[in-house]
Amino acid sequence: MPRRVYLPRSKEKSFPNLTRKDYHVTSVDDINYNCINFAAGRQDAWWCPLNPDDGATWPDGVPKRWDIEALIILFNQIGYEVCETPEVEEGFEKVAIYRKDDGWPTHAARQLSSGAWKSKLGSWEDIEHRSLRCLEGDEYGTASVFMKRPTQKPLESG
Amino acid sequence: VGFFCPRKQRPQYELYWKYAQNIIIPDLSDPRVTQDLLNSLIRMGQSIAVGNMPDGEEMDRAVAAAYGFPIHQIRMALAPDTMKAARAKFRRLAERWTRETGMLSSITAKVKHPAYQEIISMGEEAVPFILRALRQRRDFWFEALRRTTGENPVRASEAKDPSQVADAWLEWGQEKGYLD
Repeated sequence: MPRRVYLPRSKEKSFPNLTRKDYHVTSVDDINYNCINFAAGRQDAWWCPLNPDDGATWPDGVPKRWDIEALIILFNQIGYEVCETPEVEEGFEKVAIYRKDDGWPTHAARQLSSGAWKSKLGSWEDIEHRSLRCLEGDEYGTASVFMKRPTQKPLESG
Repeated sequence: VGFFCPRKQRPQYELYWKYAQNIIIPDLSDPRVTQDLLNSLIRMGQSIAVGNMPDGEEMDRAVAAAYGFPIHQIRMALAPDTMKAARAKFRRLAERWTRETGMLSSITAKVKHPAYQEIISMGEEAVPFILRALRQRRDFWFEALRRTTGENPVRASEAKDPSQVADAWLEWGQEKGYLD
């Protein structure tokens, strides 16, 4: 079994609920895609609405705002609908959007068939984490919007 | 080379041959020295001759260009302590910025961070440090580079790809002599 890789301690400190029994790193750090793009099942663009000179793009038809409403529209466009819970549902794949208490969206993660989640941590690495709570805290706030769509392809096993 | 002349009763420069021969004079006939640069040097020389010191920043840049060195290398040679302090300040701010915003997906949130804004406020002095940081590890330094240089070397065809934006800035940094 390949040896599991973890984030440097300096990065782990950003996520107090992330313990080494709950996660492992699945990629190197990369500025070519971000968590929103990754949660949508891609790794080909840094989706951010207001920074066209910084290499960022934003899907056509989505309001050019960084807020929960715009992110819901973005995921609507690729077939996701808001749902109640993050629990695994057979025949569906889910994403979760994190936000701070003031409503500012911070992060999105996508679910694996095992019920674990995969996340791209900003400019940092991708990780697979056991639960949404692993990334909750001061940086990302709480996972509070869940969306699902019929499974497009066999879910990655976790 | 400050020298107090007892006869003139004022400071003078010692321009005896034995001192002046050690000063490396730039070759202004070199084709890399443009006519604009020559005109600029002449204008500044004439200004000094009548007692008006030109703008220090402009003069530093012209002298660096005449010698064919990047401005930051001239500054490092002339004021190493100042440059070392600037480098230490940049490193401290950059480490804080990376640590506190690396996990964010909103570029707007990244560039609003106080450490990033303080790097921008360092001005042109920060440019070689930013470029070296970008070369070492790709990150969203582009806003800081635009603000500190007043330039944007990124072509429209490259603007939708962070790696290509980074490559454009690194190429610009080499052309301008900020990077080896």
